[in-house]
This record gives sequence, C-alpha cells and structure tokens, in this order.
Amino acid sequence: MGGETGPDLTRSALVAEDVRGDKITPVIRNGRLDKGMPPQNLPDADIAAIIAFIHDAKAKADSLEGNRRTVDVADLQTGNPQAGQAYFSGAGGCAKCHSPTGDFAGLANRLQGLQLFQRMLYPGGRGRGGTPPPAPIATVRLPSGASVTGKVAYRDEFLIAITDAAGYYRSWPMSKVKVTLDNPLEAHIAQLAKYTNDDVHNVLAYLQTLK
Amino acid sequence: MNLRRYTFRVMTSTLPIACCALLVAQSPAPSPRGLDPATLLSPPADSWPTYHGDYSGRRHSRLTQITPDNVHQLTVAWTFQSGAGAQIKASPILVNGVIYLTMPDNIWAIDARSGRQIWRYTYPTNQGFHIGHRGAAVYKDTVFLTTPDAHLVALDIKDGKVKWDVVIADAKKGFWSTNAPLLIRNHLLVGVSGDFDNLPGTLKSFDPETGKVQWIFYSTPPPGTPDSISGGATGGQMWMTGTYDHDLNLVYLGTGNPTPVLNGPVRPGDNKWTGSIVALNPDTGKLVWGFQVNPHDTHDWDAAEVPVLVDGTFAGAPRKMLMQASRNGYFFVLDRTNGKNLLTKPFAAVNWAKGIDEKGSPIPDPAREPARDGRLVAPNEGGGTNYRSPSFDPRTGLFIVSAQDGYGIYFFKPEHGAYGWAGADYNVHGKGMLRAIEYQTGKVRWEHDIGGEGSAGVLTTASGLTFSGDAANSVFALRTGDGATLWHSTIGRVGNGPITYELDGKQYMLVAGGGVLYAWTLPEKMAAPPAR
Repeated sequence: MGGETGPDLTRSALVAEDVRGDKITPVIRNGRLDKGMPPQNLPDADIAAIIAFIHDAKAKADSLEGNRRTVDVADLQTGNPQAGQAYFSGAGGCAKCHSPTGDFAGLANRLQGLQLFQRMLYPGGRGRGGTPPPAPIATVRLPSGASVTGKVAYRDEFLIAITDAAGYYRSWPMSKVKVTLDNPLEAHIAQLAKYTNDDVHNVLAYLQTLK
Repeated sequence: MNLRRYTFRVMTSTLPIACCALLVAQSPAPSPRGLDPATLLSPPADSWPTYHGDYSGRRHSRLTQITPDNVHQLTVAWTFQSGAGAQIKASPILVNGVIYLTMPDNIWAIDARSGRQIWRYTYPTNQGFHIGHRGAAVYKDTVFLTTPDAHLVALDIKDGKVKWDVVIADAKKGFWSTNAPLLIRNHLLVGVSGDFDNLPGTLKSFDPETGKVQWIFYSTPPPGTPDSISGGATGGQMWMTGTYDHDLNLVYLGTGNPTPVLNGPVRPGDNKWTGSIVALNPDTGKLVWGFQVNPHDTHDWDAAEVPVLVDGTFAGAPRKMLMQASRNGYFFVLDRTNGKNLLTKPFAAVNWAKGIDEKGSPIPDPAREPARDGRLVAPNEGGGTNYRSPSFDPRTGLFIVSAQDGYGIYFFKPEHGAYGWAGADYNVHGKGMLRAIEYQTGKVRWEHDIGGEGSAGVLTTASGLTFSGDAANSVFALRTGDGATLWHSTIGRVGNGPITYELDGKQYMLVAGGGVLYAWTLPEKMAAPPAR
C-alpha cells in the first residue's frame, strides 16, 4: 500500500496547520509547478469547498482505527545533546553551513518535534514551518560565452530555468548551455547514508536546546 | 470504518446495477471482437492482450520499425482525452484493434487506429478506495473491470453493457481492488488490496463465463483456520498481475506486506507467505513453492512487483528463471521450477538488512524496525521500486527498472496498537534512477537520472530501444545498450508502462501523460535527411 503518485493530504503538515484555508488556498491558486501541480483559477466558493473536503477527509482518516498514527514530541527525547553538539561541529559537518548563533539561533522556538526532525534530515521535503530552505543556484553559460546566475526555478534532463537577479524567469534547453549547480541541500542528502541511529537522535536533542 | 460505504452496499443490492451505470455508446461504431485465451500463449504483433503484453512479464516487444536511428522522428498519431481529472495509471490492453483503458470506476473501448471512443462504462458511485487502477482483462466476448469496492464486473465486449457483477471481497471489511486480472485458459485470477485492516491475503480464481469462484488462495490464514506459518500476521495481498509458465503450468505472484503493517513484535517470525513470491497451480490454487524476499517486513515493502520470467544462461547453465526487483531494494533471481535462489543483490539504497541468509533472503536488522523515537531507513515506504513495471531485454541481458534511492523515518510504539497501519512513517528524500541490471551479477551497467520518484513503467523493443518516463512529465526513449537519451516529449506525468503494437504496417507506441493517452508512430513519409 502507498507509494502511489500524489501526497496523502490527510497526513500533510500543511493541511494540519491550515486554518480556514490560510495555508491551502495559496497552494491551490499558485500550484506547485516543480512538483507537477498546475495553478488553479477557481472561484472562491469552489476553493472553499475543496478546503472543506480536505479537512473533512482528514477528520475521517484520523478517526479510522486502522489508519496511520502520529508522533508526539515526547517520543523524540532519547538523544544526547552534548553528543549531538559534537557531531554538529565535527563529523556531521553541519557547522559548515549552520551556526547556533546565526541561522539556528532560536531554532527550537520555531520548530518542534516531528517537524524539526524532518527539517533536520532534509529541509527540502516535508516538515514545514520556519525559514524556507535555500533554493539551488545555477550558473548558466550561454552559447555566446556569457553567463547568467540565479535561483533554479525549474530543472529536468532537458530544460533549465532560473529566476535572474531582476526577478525574471528565463529558460534554456539543456543541450544548448552549460550549467553549474550549487545545491546546499546536497550535503543533507549525502548525510542520510552516513547517519547512525544515535547520530540522528543526538543532533535532534542538540537542536532542541537552541532556544 | 466508513459508514457511507455500508450505505452504498445496501443500495446496490436493491437496484439493478445496469440502471445505475453511465453507459455512453456512440454510433456507428465498429463492433469489437473477442479473444481466444490460447492467443495469450503467443500474442500476435497487432495486440497487447493482457496487462504485461504476454505471460512473461518482460514487457519486451519484437517490433523493430521504430529504431534508435529514427525514434527522434516519432510523431503523435492520435491522443485520447479521458476527460477525467485523475492520472491514467493503467496499462492499456489491445485486442482485435480495440484498446481497453481503465481508471477507477471507468473503462473505455478505444479504436487503436484513431483514438476514437467506441464505448465507455462507468461503475456506480461508491465509497471504495480510489487510489488508482492497473487495467482490464479480456476473455472471448467479455471485458473485466475490478472496482474500488472490490467487485468484478463483466462487460459485453461489443457495447460495454454489464453481463454480471460479483463481489471479489467484502469492501466493508476494508478490501478494495485496482487489479488487472490475469486470464489463464478458463481461470480469471483476481487480486485485492487492503492495508488499513487486518485481512487475510486473498487471491480468487473466477470462471470467466459465469463469475463463479473456482478456488481461493490465501497467502495468510483466513479467520478461523489454524495458523502454522504466518506467526499471527495477516496481509500479503496480491494486488499486482502475476506471470505464467505454460510448460510448468505455474502462475507466479508477488505477495504484499504483512499486517499490522509497522508493528513487528505482535507477529514474530518470518510471517509467511507475506513479502514473498509464490508459485501456484492455476487449476487448483494450491501452493507449489514459495520464496520469501522480505521476511518479517515492518516497512510496508510488499513483494507485489512483477515476477519476470526469463529463459537463459545462469553461471554457465541453461535455466528457467524468475527475476524480481523488489520494493525492499533487492534484486532477486530464482530458479522458477523450484523457487531456489540464484542471486540476491541490492539495486537501490538499502540499510535494513544484516546480510543474506543461506536461502537467499535478506536478514532484517532489528535496529531498523520502527521504534518510538523513529528509525532512519532506506528504502522509504515508496520502496526501491514499486508497481511500475520493469522490462527485460534479451539481447543485452539487462533488467531495466525504475528505481529509487529513498530514506524514510519509521515509528512504532505499543500505543499505536496492532490493527491496520499500527505506526507512522514519513518520507525524507527520494531520488529516482532508471537502472539497467545485469541479471547474472546484479551489477548496474548504466543508470539514468529521472529526477524524483518515477511512476512510469518500462518497455524495451528488439530494435534496442527503452521507453519510460521521468519524474518531470517527460516520456523518453533511451538506447538500451548504454542508456543514452535519443528522444523525449513533455506530455504530463507518465503514470503507466508504455506499450507497443503494429497495425496496418505501422508500429505504435502508447503511453499516458496525466489523463491523456498518446499514440506515437513514425511519419507517413519519413522526413528527408537534412541537406549537407
């Protein structure tokens, strides 16, 4: 079961946080082009009906006996914060990009429990809230020899698109340009294969001290 | 449980089904003709008469009109707009010039030469689980559709009118069906799904003429029977279409994960025959052999993926083999005459096994079982692969599969109970790769980045082409030998496996993008080569 395309909205963190459409409405209106969801130009009444349907489905799913369960903050208190701090500053390499007095100052006030755990492991995935993760940066070398740098707006095997410094969307066929990517999230992906079970809980314990 | 589901069951028992159905017939229409089951033993080139195209599950076509040299000239012959908001996940089947395409509650008969709708049947509104649908089956003059509330509906091939409608399993208990049935002579094998309730793994063989049940195979013991092997587990649903060896008279099926899904302690032991490949006698439904690819699963990794049948050489000796790239991230080669293991190798990121046992099954590491504070495990719930069909190319010996290197976090505590999911898990990250595996070693010869987790199956052809789709709405053709990209088109999310057939001397390649089915061919007059 599971693994079909499309996220299960009854378990979505964004749906859980939504209050009368404040989080869901922008997603419906703007879409998520990077994930294949187009923007929907719908009347307000239709959007309200969709939001009511999603909340109704979530309430039903939460009440079903055999459905997926949840995680409490208290479940996640098994790590050692001192060991986590050592891993953060040492073997984990976290301190190369993050600082407890810089971007992570007060982190535990912004994110708790499962949200913080998910964001710690991969900030580009689920576990919303707090500051959005940085977008990958692409430098695109054009056939003329000129280069354009900007945040990646879209990328697949055949097309690269960036938002340039002036805020404009620009795209090129991958076959016509040379692209250099700087994706700060790559370090998080590489770390997934390196963590021990103790590492993830220790780092989480350390991050929970950053208030 | 869902009370509205009960309400519907009462409704259908008091009203004739046909009057609830939306039936749209257009005239004048060609009259579709039927299928002799013997055709499935050697399907002609102008057909794709069963889910995998033939009984082997190889999804390999002998057609060679479309080649690595001309594939870049592919042009759209026609499109079929389903008009439905959902994604097409089914494999179309083709019988006598007519395509049968399904989505949950829906089936269309479509002219394979033009994309024109001949008829459409819509099943009555129901509260079943509308997660997706794999495809239809045909026997003589009858087309079969399974439904979200676990019914099997027999339709007249000529006009889509209901001949009969029987219950496969009780939807009130939590069963549903997305299954593309497998026809073997006069046996129609139909599977079900159901992971949110503790249900016995159930496969039924129906008489395709009457809808009467011929036999039932349980992968886990049904209620009220002594349990000698499952360790108290239920589950092991056979929701994907199996494969069949006529000479051995064995049908091969992958069984699903055990239930309760994430609670392992309550069901000690290997939990046979969940997470397994089973070989059954199609005339009796009796188990001939079983091989467990996933003992004591606690991560929702069913082994329902296609058991691909290949005759060839292994370690210098001719073998009748069965190959599976399983959701647990391991690639298996078995001797399909007796279920003995020949090879077990990972083909995607895995961190959950301590090793491989003497029978060839991975040994689960208890440290990676779901726990109160969470365990970081590869693969994630989506798996190293999933329902999307792989393909085997006999010329290169490559088994090509849409793989994923994924990580998830898995939770279980006693308070989660012992019913249904009984735990929580969350995807962390997944990266999709089309991987070409050398079957004798398990080595990956090439891989092709498809972005995130893919949903497209794979088709190979004897001309050396591999068709599939990426996670970014493109269908593509690769050179099978080395994975180089030769052609692509951005058509929407590819949610099924491409198929191919030849009609009127033209080879077609069919693939769905979003809710639209696309038919590709070479141009009538090949474009002139560019001036030099």
